[in-house]
Amino acid sequence: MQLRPNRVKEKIAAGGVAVSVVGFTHPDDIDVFGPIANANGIDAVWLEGEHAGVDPANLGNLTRACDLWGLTPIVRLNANSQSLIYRTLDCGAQGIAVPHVNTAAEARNVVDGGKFPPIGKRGNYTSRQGHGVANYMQVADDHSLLIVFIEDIIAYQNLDAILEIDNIDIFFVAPGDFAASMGYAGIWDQVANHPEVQATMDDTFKRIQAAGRVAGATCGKAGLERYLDLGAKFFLTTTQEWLDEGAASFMNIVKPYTSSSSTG
Amino acid sequence: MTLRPNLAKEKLAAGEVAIVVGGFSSPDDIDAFGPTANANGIAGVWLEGEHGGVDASTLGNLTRACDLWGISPVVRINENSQGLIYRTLDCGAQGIVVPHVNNAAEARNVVDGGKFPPIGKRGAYTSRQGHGVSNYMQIADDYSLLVVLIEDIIAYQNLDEILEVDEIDVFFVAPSDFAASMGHTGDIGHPDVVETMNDAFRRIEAAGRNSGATCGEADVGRYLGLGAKFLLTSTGPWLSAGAASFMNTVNSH
Repeated sequence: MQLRPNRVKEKIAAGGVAVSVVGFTHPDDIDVFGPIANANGIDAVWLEGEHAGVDPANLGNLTRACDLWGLTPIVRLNANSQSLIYRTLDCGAQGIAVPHVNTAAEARNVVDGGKFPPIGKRGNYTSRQGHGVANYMQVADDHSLLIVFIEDIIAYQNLDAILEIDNIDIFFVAPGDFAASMGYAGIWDQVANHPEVQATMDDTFKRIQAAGRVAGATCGKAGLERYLDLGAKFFLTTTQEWLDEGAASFMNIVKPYTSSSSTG
Repeated sequence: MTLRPNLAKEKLAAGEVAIVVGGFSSPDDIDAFGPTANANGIAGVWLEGEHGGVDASTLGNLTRACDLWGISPVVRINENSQGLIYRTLDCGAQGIVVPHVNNAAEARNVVDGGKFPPIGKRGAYTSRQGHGVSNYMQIADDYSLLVVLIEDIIAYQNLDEILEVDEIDVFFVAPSDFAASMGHTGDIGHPDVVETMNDAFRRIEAAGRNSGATCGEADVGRYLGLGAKFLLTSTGPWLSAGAASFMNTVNSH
């Protein structure tokens, strides 16, 4: 038996653009989304463990729902911890996203947690993804996706050194913390759109591409063209905008039947 | 997209014996068992909701773990309720086992809960198994496995009429309640119990229907000899044997 393919990793290797979607906290909801994802060429589900409730106790069920539809389960972690990285892979994640990676040493720490020796220092254990895969330990490194977050101005200052670390698949440039670290805290969209923040982010994207590495971005429909033009090959988007639009559209039809005259 | 195959149902349709294994209560454990099941031709996992904790809130995760390995999730439910039967199918079960089915009307109730109109009265809803399957409502009935438990002496007395109810895949003859209902609680080896059960198996086969049995290595031969086509076995004895063998080495070292 072969290890399940990592769809995001395959897409990126082929030079394509990979898209992940965040907004699911229950396996049954991922399962409902499965055919929609497949029909639309979506590659991955983003499971939020930096800020939200994803942890080893629920990762088995969450990642299994992704497996069933061939979607790559990507987990954002709460800390740049080698043991947290490999435990998350062991529980079924195919991709790991580590926040606030600010130096080459911190990027190297992600690789140490995410790859077995001799590349890194990942602890020996068969992942849930390895059930029935006789050569799991030999092939696991080729299937694990590692993402580091470039989201502080200090990471920007250290970018050249960070970009020299091998075995990082995606350098993800996130606007919110980026702006905050530049002193522009406030309403998310406004600070992210500040000219100085945008110029710094744009330069980051360009340098990642110039180094022959893959850049990632988070956006809705509004920001997508900009990031595609900047060469981003990995995207995180959210169901929230889709729900908002769907709800608005639906309620627009309902509205005439709930006018003040009929409720009055 | 087509509906996931129901391995246990396919094996029965092909005249083969379908084996389901009980003993799992966590999706991660089913997932770990998947390659073992596949390597050994095991057809399904028995999820225990008559006596155990399997319910609508846990079924999504449990049945998804089965889906991943192509093994049929078969759920024993707590009562012969049409609503419970179809909700269990909606949550992802591919097979339903109903306890204490004692007459034709009760068997018919299982069909009413398990099959859509015009065959039965299953409430219209897309099962978790139906995500992405546009014709789910048209084909679901061909994929759902219905098992009734013949486990009371009154069911034995009504066996002929029960066996006339269509759409029941397996008539499962369970010894413990059978013995208890005959006044031999805890004594499944009592000659009267054994002979009555044997007769039930023979009559099920003679009617051209599938019989089911619960067994371990010691008595699987007996039930296969009686024509049983659907066998439930448990991980308990495997764990016991493995533990004993392991500890034997430890202790004799």
